[in-house]
Amino acid sequence: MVNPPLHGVKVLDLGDEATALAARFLAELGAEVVRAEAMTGDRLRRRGPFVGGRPGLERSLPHLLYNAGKRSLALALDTADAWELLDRITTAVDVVIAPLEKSPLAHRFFAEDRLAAVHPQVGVVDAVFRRDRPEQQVTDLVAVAAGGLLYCNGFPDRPPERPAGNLAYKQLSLVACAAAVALIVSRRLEGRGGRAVVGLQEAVMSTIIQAANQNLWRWQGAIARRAGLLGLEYPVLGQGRVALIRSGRTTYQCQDGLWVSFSIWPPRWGNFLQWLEEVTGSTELMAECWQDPVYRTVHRDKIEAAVAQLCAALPRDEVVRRGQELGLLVLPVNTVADIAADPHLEARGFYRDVWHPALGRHIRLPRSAIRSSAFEAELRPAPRLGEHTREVLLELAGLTETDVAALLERGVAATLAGQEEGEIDP
Amino acid sequence: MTPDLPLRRYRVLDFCWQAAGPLVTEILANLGAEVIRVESTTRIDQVRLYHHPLERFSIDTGAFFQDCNTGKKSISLDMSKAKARELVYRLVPHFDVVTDNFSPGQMEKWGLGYEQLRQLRPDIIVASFPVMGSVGPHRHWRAVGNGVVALCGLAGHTGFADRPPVGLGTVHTDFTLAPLAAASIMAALLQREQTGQGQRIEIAQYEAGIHLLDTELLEYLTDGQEAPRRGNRSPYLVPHGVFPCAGDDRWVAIAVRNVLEWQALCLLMGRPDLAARPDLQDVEGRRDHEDEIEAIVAAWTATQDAWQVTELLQSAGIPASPVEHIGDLVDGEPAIQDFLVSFVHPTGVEFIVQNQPFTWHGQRLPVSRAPLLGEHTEQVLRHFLGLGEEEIQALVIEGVIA
Repeated sequence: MVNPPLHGVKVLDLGDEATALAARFLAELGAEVVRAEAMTGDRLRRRGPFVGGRPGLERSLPHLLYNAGKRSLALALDTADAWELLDRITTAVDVVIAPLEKSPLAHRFFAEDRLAAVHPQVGVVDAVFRRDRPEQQVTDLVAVAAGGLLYCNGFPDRPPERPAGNLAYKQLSLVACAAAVALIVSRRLEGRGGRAVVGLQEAVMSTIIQAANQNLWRWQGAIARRAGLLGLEYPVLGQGRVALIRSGRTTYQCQDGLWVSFSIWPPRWGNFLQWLEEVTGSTELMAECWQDPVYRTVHRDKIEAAVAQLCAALPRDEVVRRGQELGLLVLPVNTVADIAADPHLEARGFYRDVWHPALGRHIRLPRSAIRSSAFEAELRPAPRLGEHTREVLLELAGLTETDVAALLERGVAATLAGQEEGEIDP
Repeated sequence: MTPDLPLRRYRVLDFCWQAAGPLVTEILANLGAEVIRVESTTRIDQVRLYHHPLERFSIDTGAFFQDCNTGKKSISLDMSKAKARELVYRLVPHFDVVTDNFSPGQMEKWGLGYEQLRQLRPDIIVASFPVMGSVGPHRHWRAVGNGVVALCGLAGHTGFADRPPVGLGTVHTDFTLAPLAAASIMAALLQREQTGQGQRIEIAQYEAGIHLLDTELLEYLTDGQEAPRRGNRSPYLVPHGVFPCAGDDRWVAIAVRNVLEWQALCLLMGRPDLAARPDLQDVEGRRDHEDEIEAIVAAWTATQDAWQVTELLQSAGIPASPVEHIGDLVDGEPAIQDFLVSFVHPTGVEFIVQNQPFTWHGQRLPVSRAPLLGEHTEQVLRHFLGLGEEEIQALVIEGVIA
């Protein structure tokens, strides 16, 4: 095992809730990530849920999750002095990550002309909601609406359903992470800086190319409409044709009330028929006509009824076990309780218990999805507010102990010193 | 290739198929790498079969395939034949990265496992994206996109609690693996420049999918609390929802983040009485009246155009957007027009593909069409292996290449 691949790479993370995960992934790849945050604690630290249900700047689960492995630099981000310090730090890093939502001072700091003139050698990852209207206000819900993802989800008799997981912000962070590594490669191999600007609306739109492909709209006027259990429907208009195509049902309830995702891999159609007969006695789908995949597509409601009957006769884990054994694509619809207890993840060592001094306890975190033969991603705790202020100012801002003491005295920066577990002022 | 693209010095031999894997190597291609897909005419990439124009259907006219494979080349080999595998063994030393998203064991069967590839090129980087990972009791479980969305908890925590957990209309995890995997491959390339060493990278789609959850899993692991399915509501913001507008299936998404935005919303709705109500000044108070508030907002939006009401809300500083569908995006959003790339394909079909969702030094990345099946077979064999006309003819006749 050697050092992780981004060992020695330095990242200044000014990300907000929308982009913070990008730098966490960079930390997992070995980068040294300095998270600059307000001395009062950033928004992630103030959002719940909290450990034990008790609010506190060190108790926020979003902070513990998205800032794992970073260092914390606490600054008075509402002062120009703090942003001058960030300029000094920027000269010592490879990449700076911007927040989606910028204060006036942040806006000035990240201005393209200014950064390119002052720090031509540094990579900058910026983010914008709508490229033509950067001033618009956004949340994850608003972004999944703007990028076309929300329209594809839910039941026809209800409003479109927001996906779990803050998926718009997730996609933004994932793309920002890839763009950041590309900038790091560019800088390390060619000595040049540059700027990547991730579009949030575009990032969301990049996730609908299968469900709601832009060509289907252009060619056929087809819009994917949410159809609940039936998946998606495509009312196809144009060329004098009107047709209704749908993507097909995959969600079924089992005997024990739990759910599975069930798809029949076409080469295993025969295995499905055999299993169906074993469990339900039904041989209806064994007629010759059902061998034809096109016939099956046209008459898929009959197949779906048979799958529903099969699933209803067996407990979920048995449906999954036997389905997988037969080469069908049958998976449990997991909740987090299932995922926490999954023996497969357990055997893979997916969880790590990380000690959090501020909490006086371990927090179990999912480890990086990236496995390498060359390194093991280290999973370190999220930092306490201001935990690394002093060392970052000494190492990256090029300050002396005297300078740092003066900044602390003036209230431009804050350290952990003497700070008890931070409670949130109501 | 544009000279300043960061990956222009690298080559990728890409065995990925379907969507999740090809989207990884598409990012590398768009950033300048030479990506050569190894395809099969006998085991066609299913993604080639989706989304065709009504008038035309061919193995090269799938729109979804176009969107997953821009900027790549394609060679067509029958990997069940020893001679095809021999060609690959000879190609590998010319490549920096080999990628696949097969079930565990497939590449090894072809003699293309990591240890075998290392014999051919000691500093090779091998990246695999199996659904479950190559170790663990369920490593042989098979899934496509919907199944991974179910496995990773997204489906189980999405939607209204009184409805089945149908998950998303999109096979979402197919689109989230790519940036993370591309980042890890680029990082491995950088590391190789410094150490001279290659490596094997594996990302299990299941585990990558779990990282798409917000804090639901962490909340359970920390305090044993299982987050309920909340529909469109938020535990932190009220109101937070999707409200009907005038027209067929038109909606507006609105999120009120604080009391100032709440009061602004009330004034927009012509309800100063609500703005002044002391019991609605904080989130807890508004949550106690969430049904009532949502009904009032819905009654206000129901007669309005989704775009006009969005403008009103945004001008008051309230996050809002129409729930846009693909037609709105393609035809109604000037901001994304340079994100979409149109071209006429050799088959005569006019395609629109998406660029990467980021600009690079102020420019869009140069994106070219996806390859025809086997379009570059001859070119690649000539260029890298120095094969001549007769040898290529013989390989075609034997069915090794197509």
